[in-house]
Amino acid sequence: MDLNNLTNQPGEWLKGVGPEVDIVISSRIRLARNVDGYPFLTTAKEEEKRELLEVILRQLRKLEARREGEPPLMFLNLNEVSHLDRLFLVERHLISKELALGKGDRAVVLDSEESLSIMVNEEDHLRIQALCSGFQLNSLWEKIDRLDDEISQLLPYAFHKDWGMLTACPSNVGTGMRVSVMLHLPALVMTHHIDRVFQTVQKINFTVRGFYGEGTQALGDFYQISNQITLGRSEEDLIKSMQELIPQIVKYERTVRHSLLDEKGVELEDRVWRAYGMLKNARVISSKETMDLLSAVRMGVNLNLIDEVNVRTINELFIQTQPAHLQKLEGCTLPVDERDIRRAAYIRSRLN
Amino acid sequence: MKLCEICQESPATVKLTEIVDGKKNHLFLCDPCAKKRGILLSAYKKGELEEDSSEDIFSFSLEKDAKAAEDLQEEELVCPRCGMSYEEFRENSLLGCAYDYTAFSQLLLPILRRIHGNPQHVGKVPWQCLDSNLDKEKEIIRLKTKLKRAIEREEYEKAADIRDRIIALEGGQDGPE
Repeated sequence: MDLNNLTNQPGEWLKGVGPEVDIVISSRIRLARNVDGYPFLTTAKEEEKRELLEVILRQLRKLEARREGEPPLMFLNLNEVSHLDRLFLVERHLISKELALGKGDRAVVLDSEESLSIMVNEEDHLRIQALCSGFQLNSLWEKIDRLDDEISQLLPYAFHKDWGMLTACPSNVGTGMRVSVMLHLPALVMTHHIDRVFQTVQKINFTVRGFYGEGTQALGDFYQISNQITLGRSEEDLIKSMQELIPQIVKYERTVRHSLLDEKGVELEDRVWRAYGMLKNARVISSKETMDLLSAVRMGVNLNLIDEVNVRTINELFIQTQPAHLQKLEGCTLPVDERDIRRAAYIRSRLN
Repeated sequence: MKLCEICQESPATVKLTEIVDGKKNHLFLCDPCAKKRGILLSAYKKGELEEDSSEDIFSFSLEKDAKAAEDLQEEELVCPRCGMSYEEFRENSLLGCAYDYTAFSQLLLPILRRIHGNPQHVGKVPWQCLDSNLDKEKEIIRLKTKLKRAIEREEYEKAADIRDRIIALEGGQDGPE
């Protein structure tokens, strides 16, 4: 399996299939785990990090034998992966920015469908992540729960009976689980109802983050909602709260979309078609502008205001116009100005 | 690594300043020994203890000023395993090793309460840590729910897998059922 093969596919989480996929882009669950008997990475010495990486990868390779009928795994030592490829993996949500820009012995284990990623030596020894398109937390939990059981039989976890899985940051202790759902909420943003959503979500201990997770800005009206509490509640309980919360936000977005259609139908249609026109004709375009315009077109497609383009193409453009993706498509590194020109050309070639 | 001055066995995790006959002394203790001497660290920290509730020979500078007590404890706390101090943790919010949770437990507990509310783990227990019967029972209940779901979905292979694990756990339980 080669990283370059991934360039031409949109990635599991942007496939555009699954429940509520017009609004829920993707679901993700990650588990933070540390191997018992080794210090956390904050204090681990270089040789300890190297040993950890070796031990973890040796054990994870045993997983492969048990994964009959499942997509093959790819083991990437990030020290041997170029800077551009590491950013490419960040854009695909397969590794974190911290792991990409970090130093020393660290790795990621991926499956060829990009529905699974295990980061090794990030903030914790292991960050196990499962992701899928649409809103499907139950099947995702079953999958990651089983994988976690298998890994725990290969590597003993640092665990305390009162505090659960012990993690480098106390904000992850307990279940070590972060459930995140990425939502596309253009109508709530347009009508400024989004602030009310944020306030409600925060009141019940969930957090809202941008497109690339913690500390990132919202791009193209995409928001990630995730649980804040990890201790004192069971995994199933946390997932259940998410399953109660998300459909309410989805319903809210749909309601606002339809009232916009009823009351400001022409303006909405105009916005969608203008965005489409810009994408089809622009000669220079930044990645932020691209995201904003694609967001409007995506909503237009979902509301049947435009039928010249399908959601799959839009989803592919979201990822392929990101800086690292674009440079991989072009086969070379490019300065920002040049990227904006090539990006516009690439979008035109896809839409015309 | 400094050993506890009472038991001489466990690593010292707390440095206490005691005032005997107006003279300042430092005492290095492990958590259990500190507790045995009736020193309720969390209570001192919260300023809940009455002045006269401590033993006669101990007169703690800690009890006078709750804030100063907190500062003192934080300053002196160092994890005997990884060498990280509580101060360092406060600076970058990341702990140095799993034992820090024990070494800093008194100070972490209020933080865990603030972040999570209930500071008692009720989630998954890793396979190798299912040592008490209660843990096993909880895990068996969890697996039985999963088994039911798998059967409902006609995922028989998965169901068989879960059933095997339930049998293994039930077989490993001690004492009469």
